[in-house]
This record gives sequence, C-alpha cells and structure tokens, in this order.
Amino acid sequence: MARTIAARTISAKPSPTKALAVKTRQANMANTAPIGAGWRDLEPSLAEVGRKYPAFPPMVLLKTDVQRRGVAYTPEALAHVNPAKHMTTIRSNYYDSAGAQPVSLTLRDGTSLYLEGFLEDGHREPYVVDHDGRRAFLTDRGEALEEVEYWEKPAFYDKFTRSGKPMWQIVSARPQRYTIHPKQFCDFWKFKGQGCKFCAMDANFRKNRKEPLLSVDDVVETVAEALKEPGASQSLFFTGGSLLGGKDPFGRGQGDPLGAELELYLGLLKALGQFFGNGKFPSQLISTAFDERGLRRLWEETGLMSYTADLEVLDEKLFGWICPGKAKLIGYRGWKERLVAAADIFGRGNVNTGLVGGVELAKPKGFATEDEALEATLSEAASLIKHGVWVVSCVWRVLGGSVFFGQKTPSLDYYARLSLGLDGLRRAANIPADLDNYRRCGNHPDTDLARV
Amino acid sequence: MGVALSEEIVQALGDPQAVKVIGTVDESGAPRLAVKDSLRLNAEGLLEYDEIIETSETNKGLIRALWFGGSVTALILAANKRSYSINCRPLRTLIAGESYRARYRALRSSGLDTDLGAVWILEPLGFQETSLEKRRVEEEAKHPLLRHLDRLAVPPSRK
Repeated sequence: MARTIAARTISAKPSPTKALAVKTRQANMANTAPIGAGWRDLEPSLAEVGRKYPAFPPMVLLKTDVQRRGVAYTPEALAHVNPAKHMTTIRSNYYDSAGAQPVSLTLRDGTSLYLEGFLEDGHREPYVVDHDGRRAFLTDRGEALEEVEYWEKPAFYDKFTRSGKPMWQIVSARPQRYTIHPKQFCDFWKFKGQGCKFCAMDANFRKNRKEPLLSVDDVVETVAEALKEPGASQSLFFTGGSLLGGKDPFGRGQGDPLGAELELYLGLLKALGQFFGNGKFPSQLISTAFDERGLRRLWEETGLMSYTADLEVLDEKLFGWICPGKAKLIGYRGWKERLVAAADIFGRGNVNTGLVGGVELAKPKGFATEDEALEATLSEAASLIKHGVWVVSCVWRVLGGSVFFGQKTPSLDYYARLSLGLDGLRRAANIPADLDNYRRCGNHPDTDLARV
Repeated sequence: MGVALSEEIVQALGDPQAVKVIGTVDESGAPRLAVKDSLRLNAEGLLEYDEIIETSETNKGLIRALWFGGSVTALILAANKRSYSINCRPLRTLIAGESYRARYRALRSSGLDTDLGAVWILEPLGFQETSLEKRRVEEEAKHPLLRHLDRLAVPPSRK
C-alpha cells in the first residue's frame, strides 16, 4: 500500500544526547562515514532487500529498518498524541522520557516497533511518522509505507505509590508485557573500562539522577495495581544492571560477587508470587549469568518460568572487547556453561541468550565483513542451540552516552539474513519462541518470524 | 471501506444460530477451515472475530495473508439454511489496547475461562450467496447444456 503524503517540514530535530565518553566517541567517529545525502547509495534499500527475500514478511522487514534508522515525528503526528491515552513516559535501563512523543509504535499486524524513544542513528535519515487526520503513517521521503498506532498506556501509569513515586517509573509497559528494572545502574560501570561498550545505562542513570534500586514495596504495590486491568499483560519481565558485591568483585576468594543480585531477584519474585498463588507464572529474568546454585534457587524457590543471560555477541574475542566486565567476571565460556546449566534447570526452550545484533561489526575490532560476521554468529548460535539455549537478536541502536556512540550499524540485508538464520536454527531445533515472541518482547525481528 | 454486505448477510452475522466459518490456507497451500462463532459486523461495516487460540492455523493463515497480501474466506450458514461466502482481506489484528481489552473483558465476563489471542478485523471484498437452491437455478440458467436428458424427457405420445 503506497500513498503519498505531501512533503512536510520535519519538526525540529531534538538535541542529540551528549555522549559522556567524548574522546572515545571521537575516536570511533574517525572510522565511520558521516551522514550525508548519499547514504542510500551505499546500501540496499528496504524495497531491494524485500525483493531479495520475498519470503521475509514486509512488515517485519520494515520494523527492522525502523529500529535501525529511528523515527522523527511531524508536527501533525505529534498533534495527535493524546497523553491521556498514549504512552509518552518511560523509565527503562537505557532511556527516560516524560515528553510529548510516543514511546513506541505498533503496526497493523500487532508487530511492535520497539523504539524506546530512539530517534536517529546519526548516519541515515530516520523514518518519519506523519498523520493524515485519521491515522498515523510511517513514511520515507514523503511516501506513506504503513499505518502505525501509538502505544497506549495502561491505567496504572497515572497513579502513584504510597511512597509518592509515579507508577510508570516502577513498572514499564509494552503492549503485552510489564517490565521491572529493579536496578537502574550497572555496577560494571563503577570499574574503569568494564562497562559494555554499546550500553548507555550509565549515561542514562547519571543524566536522569535516578535512584539505583527500586523499593520492593513500590514494585509490589504497582504490580497489584497493574493486575487490576484485565487483558493488559501476558508476562512479567525482570531486568536491570548487574549488581556486583564486594569491594573487588573480580578478585578471587571474595565469595559470590553475584550473591546480592541473586538475592535481589529472589526477593522480588517471592514478593510478587503472592499474586499468582505462589505458583509458576509467565515471567522472564534477564540477569548477569548466575551459577548453577543460583539458577536452581530461582527455579525452585520462585514462580519464574524462563531465564536469559545476554552474551550480546557470539565471539569470545569480541566479547572480551565489547563486554570487558562480563568477560573478566565470568568469561565467555563460563557464561555459556551457565546458560547450558540454566537450560537443564528451566527446561528446553525456556532459556535463551540475547544479542545486540550488528555490534559484532563494530569498528575497529569487529568482523571485517558482514558475511564473516554472519557466519561466525550463526555457527556459534547453532552450537548453543544444541544444548537447548536458543538465541535472539535485537537491532543495535547506537545510543548516545554509549562508548560506541557514533558507530554505524550494518545493512538491512545483514539484519534480514541474521533474523532468517536465527529463526531457522530455532525451528530446526523445534523450540517455540514463546519466551521472547512478538508480543512478550517485541524487540526481536527473528522471533517476529515465528508467528507463522 | 470494503463492500457493503447484503441485509441477509448482516442479519445472519447477528444471529447466534448461524454457523460461521473462516477459511485460510496454510504454508503448504492446504485449505484450513474453522468455525468462529464470534464472527460479527462492526460499526464500520467490517468483519471482526475473536481468535482465542494464539497459535491456531487460522491465526497463522490470517497473519500470512496480512503479511503477503492474500485473502481469506468467511462462510456463513444462516438459520434458514441459506449460505453466503465472503471474500475478505485481513486489515489488522489487535493484540493490545483498549479495543482488544474490551473484547477480552467481554469474553471473560461471559463465563468462559479463556484467553484471547487476538481480535481480527477483516475487510469484505466481495460476497455471493452459495445456497443450494439459488445456485441450482443459476447453474441451469447459465449452463443449459449441463443436465441429464432424463430430466427433460417426456413420455412419447400414443398414436
């Protein structure tokens, strides 16, 4: 469906978020191409990639490209945002906003364009959301491509806890998922050079002056309120920054450096278990990779049903470069071993690991070509899935405040091949995508493919 | 949007005694039929139904049609035994939001202990009556050569 909406002036671009690691950003920018009118000539277009992969659903391909390029909103699009109905506030690990623009968008098929306020990647023009008075549309160069809906906010978003906190800051919502970020800061950033290079959690925390830990009472009260709205959510997700115990968590003989993080989630899950008769409930924990003892406690003592510990990149050397803290604390192989242990405990299909898809091509140490990166990533994913650990990928959004700010993400063709590859591996292993599917997460083009 | 359905179809859609079926095709091209009692006409003249089972073949078939531009068929057998076939285009699916939640609440309050996979909105593109009597008359008028001779034969007259 192609309609043309008369070209409109794009509303003034918001100021880019200032990167804290200025020197690193400048060093990275030296390796990246500046944005310019010719970027479209340097890579295959949405239409070209769509023709190349006719079996790839056009809406999912569009979602992938939107997540890659970001969105801008015309004044008409923003004029139709209704803060009483639409979600315009968000507090997550990487992004905080109480502004006037939609947090994210949905396509006609229910696919989430999970944006979390991501506006532009700095190398390519973003898609533009416009409005014709009746509906909002995603457009590119004035051509309307698809209708979109602004995410609606749940009823609890307008309420406050007894302690005076806005509930939207305690539990964040996606169309069918509630997420609790109990720790808003990652302790790897306390140690020089140990934070993950794609991550903006540290910058976001400092910029927004958040409290590092949520109160369990606030979380329980908010979830109680959220559950009063029938049909609003099918899952509870828990994710946050790593909580490292001890003065030197990387040192030997210090006890379990993840003990405090484990206790944090055990406490939260047990407190929330009351709402589900203390039985199992659709839930996922995305945490630092716990050892077998910790994993077993999570399974046996709480209602948690699925588990993720993100490897972020499927290459040992790159893991060491991109996630130095994770590599130093547990190591790539140790991380994989813990994932395999989790699969044995939680059951096949209930454990996966997430990738920041495309970061494997980051300059200067990433793979030199997209073909190399794809082959290495899918080969490693295949080996993990043999042990019951499947792999999901999100589109790398190069965030302001991250060490990698200024980097350029790969082509849409790469993401299409990556999604097809991961989906193929999961299907061949006969593992359902329920845990992280289009509506329980909505951030993975590869699991969007699992709908059919 | 779409074609306006006939008054007979509109009445049948509103009749709980009518049987309503959605036909889709799976990835191999095999037809899949399923009774969908909740098929109804909405205020915009579009068809709607509640897909209870998220992983159903009907749901997958509809998604496939929405993604790749296909169509699906709704078949209605009214209480008076007249039947109608409606060719439809899946327009959108609701999996969240107030409209979805309203249907979820309605289902739950009807006493069913059920979940709701999605609410589908279908645009009618065309329709025809498929009742046997109507089709029989049409067939004989349009194809007079296609009938058995004994039906036309008359006894020879006695001299």
